[in-house]
Amino acid sequence: MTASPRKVRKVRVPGLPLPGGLAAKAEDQLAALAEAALVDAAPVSVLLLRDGELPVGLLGLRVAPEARGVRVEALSDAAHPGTVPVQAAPFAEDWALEVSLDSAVWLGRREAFAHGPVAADVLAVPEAATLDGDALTAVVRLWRPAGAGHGTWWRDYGVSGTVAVASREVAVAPGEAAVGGGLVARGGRSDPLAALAQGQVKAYGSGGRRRVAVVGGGAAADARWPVRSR
Amino acid sequence: MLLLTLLACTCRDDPALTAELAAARAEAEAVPAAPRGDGWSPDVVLHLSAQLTDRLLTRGLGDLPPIEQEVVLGRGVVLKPHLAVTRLTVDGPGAGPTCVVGTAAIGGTVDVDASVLTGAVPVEATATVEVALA
Repeated sequence: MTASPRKVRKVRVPGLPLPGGLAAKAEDQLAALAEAALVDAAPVSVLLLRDGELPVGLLGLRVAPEARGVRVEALSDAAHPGTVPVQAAPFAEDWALEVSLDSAVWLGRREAFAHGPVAADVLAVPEAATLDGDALTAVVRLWRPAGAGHGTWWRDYGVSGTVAVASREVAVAPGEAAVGGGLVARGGRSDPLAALAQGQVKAYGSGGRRRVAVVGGGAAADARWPVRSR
Repeated sequence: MLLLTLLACTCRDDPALTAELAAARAEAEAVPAAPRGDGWSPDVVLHLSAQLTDRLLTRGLGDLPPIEQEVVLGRGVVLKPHLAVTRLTVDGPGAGPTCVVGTAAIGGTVDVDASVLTGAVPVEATATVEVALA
């Protein structure tokens, strides 16, 4: 984000040891000087979002004033991006980041395919997610791709967990994993590893908090990644 | 024999499922074309508080070159300022869609060269500044 001064409307310089007429003239001259110096200067960088360190690609980025602060709006390169309502969000911290859950799921799907099998040749691909407060409910589809020697199948699992900010990271701590609640399995007849797969989901969750996004914390000036300021 | 038949069934790859997986992967990996113009809705929004915005702008504008051009006022009075933006407080949106208006504190010294006074005078000036963000 860059800032470019556009206009200096008035300058008050109390304390100049000059007669009234000259002091007013000095203020006018200094205002003109300040405007020339500030407006003619190259835009200054005030917040740097490093492309290479962002967890997602951005297709759009713009800045808008918001009350007395600023709002940075971005469009990720998720295959099917959701939306975040453009409205002032009350928050007590220096900054707040809102991410569409739909976009997060699609970005997670891309990451899951890029990551490859988590164990036993099984891919774990997020299909859907909902948030209620800090409670996360997600559907993860376990895929057994062709060529693994045990047939092709997929099965959906419901995963519940919590979302929390810890050590400047947004982290998901999955809890339970279960098939049911109207979830679907396909290729069930050739699903001899279903029990193992369910165990894998639990291992996937219990192996520690899984980072899904990093937002830094406190003042953006102190954030490590992906938000940096200069 | 029955066991062998069952194993053959369970271990067989299903072409339809393989195609379904390939389609799911292709869909997830697809990157939409970048939108033209501003007719897009954000899926990520970063809100910066007033206090943080003030700090970021203060730091950014503080890096600008100092204001040092000589001013000739007449009657033998010449001013040589050494001023820089020391603080910017955003007051609200500006005239443009990406503009904010703020009050800048400009500090430093002004060398005054006049018949009755010569020397550096500390100055704390304030200015109303409109800043365009991009």
